[in-house]
Amino acid sequence: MEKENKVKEMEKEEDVKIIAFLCNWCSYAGADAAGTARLRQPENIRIIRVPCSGRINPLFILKAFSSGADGVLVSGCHPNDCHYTDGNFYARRRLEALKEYLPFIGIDKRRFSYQWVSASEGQKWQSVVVNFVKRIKSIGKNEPK
Amino acid sequence: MNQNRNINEKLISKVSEIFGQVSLVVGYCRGNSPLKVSPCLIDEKKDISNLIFNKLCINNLATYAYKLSKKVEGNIGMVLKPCDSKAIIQLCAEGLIEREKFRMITVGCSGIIDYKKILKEIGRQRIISLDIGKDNIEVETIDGKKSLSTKNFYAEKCYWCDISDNPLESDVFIENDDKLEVEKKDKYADIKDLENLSIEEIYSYWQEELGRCIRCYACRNVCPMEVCQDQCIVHLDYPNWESQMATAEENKFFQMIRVMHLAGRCVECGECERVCPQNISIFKLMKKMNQVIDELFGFSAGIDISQKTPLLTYKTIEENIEEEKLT
Amino acid sequence: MENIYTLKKQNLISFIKSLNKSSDVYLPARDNKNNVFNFFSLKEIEEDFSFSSQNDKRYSMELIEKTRLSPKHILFPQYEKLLDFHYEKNPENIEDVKIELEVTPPERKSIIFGLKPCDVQGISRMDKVFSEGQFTDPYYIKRRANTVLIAIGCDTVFDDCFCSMVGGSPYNFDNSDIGLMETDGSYVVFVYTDKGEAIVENNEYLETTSDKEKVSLKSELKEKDEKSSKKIESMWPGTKYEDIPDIMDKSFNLKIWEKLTEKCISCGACTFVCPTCYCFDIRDEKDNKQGQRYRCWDFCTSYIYTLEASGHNPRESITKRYKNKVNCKFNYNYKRHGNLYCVGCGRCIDVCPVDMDIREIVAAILEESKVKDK
Repeated sequence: MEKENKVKEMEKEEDVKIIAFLCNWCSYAGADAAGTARLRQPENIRIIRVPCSGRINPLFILKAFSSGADGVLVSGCHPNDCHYTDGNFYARRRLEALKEYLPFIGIDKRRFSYQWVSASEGQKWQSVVVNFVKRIKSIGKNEPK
Repeated sequence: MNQNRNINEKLISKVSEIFGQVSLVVGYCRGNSPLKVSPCLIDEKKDISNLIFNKLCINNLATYAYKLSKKVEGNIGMVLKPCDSKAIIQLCAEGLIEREKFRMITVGCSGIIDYKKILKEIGRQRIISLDIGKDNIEVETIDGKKSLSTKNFYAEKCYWCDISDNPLESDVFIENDDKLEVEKKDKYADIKDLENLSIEEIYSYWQEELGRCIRCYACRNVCPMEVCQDQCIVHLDYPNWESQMATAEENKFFQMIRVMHLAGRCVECGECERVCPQNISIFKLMKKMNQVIDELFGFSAGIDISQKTPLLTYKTIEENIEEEKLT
Repeated sequence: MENIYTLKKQNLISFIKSLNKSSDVYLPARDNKNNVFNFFSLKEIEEDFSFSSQNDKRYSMELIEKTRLSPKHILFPQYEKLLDFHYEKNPENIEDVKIELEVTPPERKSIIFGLKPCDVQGISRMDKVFSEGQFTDPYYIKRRANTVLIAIGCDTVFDDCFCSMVGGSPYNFDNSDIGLMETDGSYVVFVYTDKGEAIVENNEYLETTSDKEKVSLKSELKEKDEKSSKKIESMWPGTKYEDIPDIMDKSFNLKIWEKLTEKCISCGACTFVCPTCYCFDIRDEKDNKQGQRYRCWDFCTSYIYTLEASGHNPRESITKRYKNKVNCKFNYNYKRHGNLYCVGCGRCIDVCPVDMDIREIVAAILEESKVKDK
């Protein structure tokens, strides 16, 4: 019985699906750098490349959740480093508002996070992903009970 | 009722005065049941005498502002309650309408009665007459008379209103001798109640509420701020934002589209919830977003005509945003 | 086939429960928690349901008022899956595609209890749309064949009732399988069809009536009908409803249409609560190699209803769209199916966010066309 539970637990953990929206100019390259440097990353992440974090409509994130994602991660350039000058400043406002709103419609706030990772920060990308996946796994799948 | 006659006369005389400057006046006139008033669009001088203003004028006529501004040549006069004028202010602030095109005829408000609350109380009987007094509402139905206490039947938004006597922006202000006298309530009380539940309970609450939705889009179309109804992404096939299957999840996503497009823009007129045929508490969703915007950016929509919506601007250092570190 | 029984009032509940054994019973129930009043399936709400409103249960039955939504959603659901599809491609030969379709036609037997005569008329109008003419709809027909309609006459008429203005009446049991008339201590049960007879046959709660009683009960029905009809005052006195279609034809280009319709906000509340609006959209939605074809309600007051792929929209203004809506109900379908497609239930008037009143609009058109004739 205990063993069975353990297996179930593991299956549950393995299954979590995370959608990551990455800015083409920084985080996407950062993730690439992490791969080239052979830094091990969890496989739960599905990456979608966007031209800028300012391109991300909060509805992308909500759509991901409503289509069954267990977590959504957004990553863009550090403030003041945006390729288009101010895209990430707009993004920050939108994403923060969305994040505060999520619990109200029954989605755990911790399932969503936005981060700033530059093209050279492969190491940082790895730790962001590892920590985020760990967190989502600890919450479990986003399944209605 | 005397009071009403008084304000009607004032309204009609003011509108007659400015009718030359405007080619169309949007106002209220008698509705098809004693419980309702009907919006009317007046383009002939002889019809001005149909205008009324009383405690049943719950519609937000600013709903017509954007559409008419595209259609009507010449200026438009609009009868507004102070809370409705917020919608015009916000539309102007966003550059969707021109301030000069509108003559805002704002009428001081003594609180608006929500007919849905009365219907809930008396059932849908045939109403013969309705007299709304300061303390009591006398309803005469075919089953007899009933007296209701006025203070319980105001629209929800009246219980936290603080601009009833003070239009933020107006061209003509008609003062109402009656003042709004209600016991103030916490605007976010119902939101707090819901937030006290666990995340799963909140989820199933919305699943149940929005499972009732029939997707008639009345909430979207009545909203004064939702100006892109005809091009709404809900109807797109490519990309397929939203399925037309009326399941709770899809209906929720439809409301999320509304919430996101109204973030920092909603003027809290509560029309979306009023018009819902299925009595879904959509207004809570809108109010919560407003609360978030207020907490983060200290902004309420429809107050200042020169202020930009917070999501259309930014600061390099945000005082109220604490970024999360995952490393 | 016509038979008359009586049912004691205190036995009504047991009678409905006995019907619920063999089929699904739908009845008008008020959801007291959410203040919604619609037709619900008794099986779905049974746990928290009471027949009287004096109970603190969540749902309670209510037979006097009319429901917010019409009962059309029982026969013609807002969203209905037509088929599942699945396909597979042969990677070696791209022209070799295997497609599998799976159709699941509706099977359940149901009884709709407590319909108003206008609701039944609405369903009969739907029947004509889906089962007459060259193309018929197997899903609707199947479901309809498995459905028994039990109507109840109206002693109370509401502000927005106008069935007698469009050719109906408050005790018109045409097209219903069973009609109920409320009398002092009991309900009189008029059974009109074999389908109706089949479900009440040998029912322990029904009492048979003698031939003499039958005659008097029938005349009582007629009396009640007249009495209730009188309570509805016509808004187009002097105009027969059969004449409306021709007048609509003549009035198509009147300028007054614009004035009458400009306050409409193009939402679909009126169409979605209407018992006769039948427009739908069929869509395919696929996810990878499988998906489903479904249909869902559509509404003619919406801008995109007639929007063409080129970007041209023949009914780009609300006036044109609303004119079409009124003509659809009072003109086109009369010529197509021989009935007005408005049954006078008044639900559209009740739900309209901006207080549009279809009676007033038709009355104004009739009035204007008279002026023009002179």
